[in-house]
Amino acid sequence: MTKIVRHVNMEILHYSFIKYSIISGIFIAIISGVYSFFIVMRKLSFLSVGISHSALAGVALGYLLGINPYLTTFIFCIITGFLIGKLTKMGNIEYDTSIGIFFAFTMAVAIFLIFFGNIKVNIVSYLFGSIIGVSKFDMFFTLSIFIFSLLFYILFFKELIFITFDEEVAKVSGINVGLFDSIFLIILTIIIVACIKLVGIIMTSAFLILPTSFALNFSKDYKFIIVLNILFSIVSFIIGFILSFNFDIPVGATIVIVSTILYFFSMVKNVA
Amino acid sequence: MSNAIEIKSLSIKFNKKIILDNINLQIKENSITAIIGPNGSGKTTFIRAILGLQPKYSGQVKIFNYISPDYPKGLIGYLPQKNVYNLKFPSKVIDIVVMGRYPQIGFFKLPSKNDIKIAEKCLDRVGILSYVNDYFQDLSAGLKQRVLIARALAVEPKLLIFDEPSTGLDIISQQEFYNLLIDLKKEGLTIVVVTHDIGIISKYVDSIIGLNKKIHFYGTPEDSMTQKNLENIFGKDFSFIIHDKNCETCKYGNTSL
Repeated sequence: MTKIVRHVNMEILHYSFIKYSIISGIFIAIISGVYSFFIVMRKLSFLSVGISHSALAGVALGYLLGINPYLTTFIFCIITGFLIGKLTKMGNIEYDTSIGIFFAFTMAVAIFLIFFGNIKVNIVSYLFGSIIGVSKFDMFFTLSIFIFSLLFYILFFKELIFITFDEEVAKVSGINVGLFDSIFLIILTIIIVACIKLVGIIMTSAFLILPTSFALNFSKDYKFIIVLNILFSIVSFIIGFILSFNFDIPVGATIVIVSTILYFFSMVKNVA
Repeated sequence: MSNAIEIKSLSIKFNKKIILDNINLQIKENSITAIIGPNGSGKTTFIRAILGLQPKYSGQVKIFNYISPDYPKGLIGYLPQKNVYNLKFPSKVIDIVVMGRYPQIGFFKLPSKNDIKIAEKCLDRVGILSYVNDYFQDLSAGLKQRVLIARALAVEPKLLIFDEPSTGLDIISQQEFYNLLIDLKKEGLTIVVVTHDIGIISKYVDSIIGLNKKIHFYGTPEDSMTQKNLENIFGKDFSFIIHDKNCETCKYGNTSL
């Protein structure tokens, strides 16, 4: 391990894309750590999976139309999120069924667009993430998402907690739960969009689910859990990033493997 | 005494099925009213309409002359049914009760020392101040219910609405709960309770509403709790037993199904 870290010290900061990746990764780690609590507690884990997978169609659409894939991915993910909600209500089905339908449909749309659009872009890097894929623009894009999401969290912390615990009484208390849900969905989507380049579409949901799963093994107080989430995400990112750089393996997958191992270690406490 | 709740021609349909049919009633200020009825009779839908949570209905609902759903913040304290909130939510008891203060605190502010003090006072009223720093998820069902009653009180509302509040409470705690309602009424509150405790409520409430899609009866316990009335809403197989007719302290309530 010492050898690896020394090696990293010598080379890692020579490349500007590495700096962009590290800074973006830290922003993503903090914000996904914060929102992980609300996603897990509101049982929206599978929704984050559904939305993140729909991103592939958004990326493909962007390349097909020749416009910034971030924009098309964001719009596509938002539409998917709202349609999942609509289908659940109108189709008289459960949330997971509705997500399952859109999960398959959006992946099919993505494959359709890639196949018929003859898209030459390296889709694998979007699926699994890439260190070299992060540009200066991506870093500032992630920074703006970070600021917006964090500001919303700080300003409406107690309302978010109230809705997460008891939506019905929150409504009676005068909180516009519908509006908060819509903003929450937008934030969830932009975090997913921010994650895609570095972490990859397939791995993004783990970033949003594992921190709280880990922290719940150590605390029964949401305030401490959110702090622990952030620490967990940052540590997982740094270890995963170093390993990924040294062994030239996809960064998203490495971070998720590190996070999952840490989560299993946290389980030992419960088993013991 | 003026009306706390006024309902005119309230009807609710869901998928062409009638849930509530032309409800008209007034509930007096500073009173305790129980709503009874079998499962699926529309009790929860009815209180959701009062609370302003029901998106589609016809008719008019007013609370203290405010038309639903445009109520001022902090007008209503509400205890929902057990299945609507997150039972495993990781939080200290005090933080749950302080949520009751959020309407008064407003946006962009954190609870003050005074809010914490009010929350502690409410925990004391329901007899669980010693659990203030315990974790909510570790509590028994009965204690969780008391925490949420304390949260409804922390709103310092004019109207309290409880949906099946005695679920999970043992018989002693049930009696303590209904005694608490009497104390709260003395302080000027109006209380509406949806309940299945038809064996004991008559001792504690001013009036009883028998609901099964429409109002079958509404009046004092003496007038309401009759074999015929209860058969009307619960069905013909219903049997109504008065355990001790001569028991003065039992009033009209020492009954069971």
